[in-house]
Amino acid sequence: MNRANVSLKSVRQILLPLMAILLPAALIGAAGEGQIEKTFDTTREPRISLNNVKGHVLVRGWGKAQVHLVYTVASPRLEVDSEILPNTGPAEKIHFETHLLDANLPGNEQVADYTLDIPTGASLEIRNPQGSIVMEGMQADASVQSVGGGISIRDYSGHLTVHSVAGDIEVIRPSGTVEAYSITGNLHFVSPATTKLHGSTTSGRILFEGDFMDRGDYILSAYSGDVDIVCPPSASYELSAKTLKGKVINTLPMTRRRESASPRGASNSLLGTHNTGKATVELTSFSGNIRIRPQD
Amino acid sequence: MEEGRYKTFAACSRFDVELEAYLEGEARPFIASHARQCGSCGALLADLQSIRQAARELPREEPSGVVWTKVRARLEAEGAFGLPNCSRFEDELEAYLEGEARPFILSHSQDCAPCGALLADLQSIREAARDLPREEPSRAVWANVHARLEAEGAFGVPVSGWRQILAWRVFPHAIPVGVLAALVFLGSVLTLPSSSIQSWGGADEAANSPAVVRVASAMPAGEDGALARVVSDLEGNFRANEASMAPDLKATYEKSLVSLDGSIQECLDSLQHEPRNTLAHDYLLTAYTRKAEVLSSALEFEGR
Repeated sequence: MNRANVSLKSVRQILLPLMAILLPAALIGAAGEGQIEKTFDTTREPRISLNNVKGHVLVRGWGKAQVHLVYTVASPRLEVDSEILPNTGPAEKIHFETHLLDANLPGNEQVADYTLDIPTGASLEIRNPQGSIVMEGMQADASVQSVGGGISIRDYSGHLTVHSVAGDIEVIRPSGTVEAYSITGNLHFVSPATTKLHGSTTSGRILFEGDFMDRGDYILSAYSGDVDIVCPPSASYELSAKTLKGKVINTLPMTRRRESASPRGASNSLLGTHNTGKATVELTSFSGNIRIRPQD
Repeated sequence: MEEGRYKTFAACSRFDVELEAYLEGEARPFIASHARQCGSCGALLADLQSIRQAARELPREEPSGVVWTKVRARLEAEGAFGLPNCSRFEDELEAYLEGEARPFILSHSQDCAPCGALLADLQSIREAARDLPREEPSRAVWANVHARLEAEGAFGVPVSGWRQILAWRVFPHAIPVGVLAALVFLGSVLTLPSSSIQSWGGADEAANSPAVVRVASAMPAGEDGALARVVSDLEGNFRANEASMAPDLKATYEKSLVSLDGSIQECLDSLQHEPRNTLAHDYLLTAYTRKAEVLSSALEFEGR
């Protein structure tokens, strides 16, 4: 009897600490291998910022006043820090930062992938120099920056400022103000419902697919890349298209006008009004072509 | 007799008039002389001086908060802090001018002449401003405004431009501080007339820099030379630090810089043939600005 009791006690003494270690590990494992999850209560409009080095960042807006973070790191010598303000109560400001614990960490081990579900009213600042960024369904202001990664943003209604040195930028169904800049990357705007859109790239191409809003201002500028506009025949806009070394090819009916103070140098330009000219569209390229054509 | 009574009455009246000023410290010799001649006025003066003396000797007591609250409430009720309607007018005026429905503004401006005059002035200024022709500032002006606002930290979220990268962690690093200063300088230079820049030799010095010798020969104006010098300085910093940069990141920056250098060179060639080609000049300024931004970004990320 005594021996049995001792034996049971011993087993319990061994198993309980073991379970204390194994259970969290099992829960983490259930979330996905190497995945770490964190949830923070926030206000409805917190400020969220993220500094990553390399990897994929996905940010989605949701209706909860919470930030739910899931991340994986490619190396134990990489860690993710979170800084939350204020210290108590719903967070008004959260900053996530990927830290290299070893400066000599090989490039392929510097990867941290993030998935963030955040309140739709949160303002965002994301920097992911060597990785891609995808954002969906947000309503507040955002600044998104990458160096080599592509950036894709869908259904965003705040003021959006997007920079990528070499990555492509895709903005789908934005309804706030949009500013998108790249050097060698392409810019792609799809179905914008925004009244202020500014896109600029040096050697990339610009493709705008959608309608122009009444009283909207659209400024698209490429250097050596082409600028393509594909819009419905019912679109109403005043057009200024200028290229120095390329061509302007327009296949939509246009009431042409002469510009009184035309900038010198635009060897190929088209100034005119399509339908009633409710929006203002300014397209420029130095050596690329500019094409305006109707949607099929 | 009658005349004497009249003189006495007149003197006492004068005493009454001047007494307050005398008690407040003004030099009024008549008061003292009349007090000596007139028993009743002398007694009044003596009483007042003794009261004042006694008051001076009283201990100083701070009234309770309740007393002050009551005093303030009473004063407010009497309009001592300004008319409540005028205060409300001031509070709502900005919103009204920005297009919000504020019926109180119109009704109060009809009842209150000063507020009505203020509203009329502001509306006439607004009308006059609307009639002004719309002028689009040059890129140079925007660049300067943008650089200065960024330098002053005027942009929170949303953040725009590579320069915010600097703002985030600018102080621990000397290079980004220099870059930021250079960008401010870049913006400033853009707004200066060409003659000013030429007077401090921007174009000549820029032309002497090895990094811009190739482009300097084609420079049409001093401001572009000064810009080239700023970009050249940034590029010098970049080259000095590029070894510590991650190889793939460095390759990305190199590719972008090649692209920008190509556009700068092409613009300069165009300007050499057509010095007044404004489109080429605009693109040149944009390319320099973009290059400065890319270099700033690269300097920030070096070592990562």
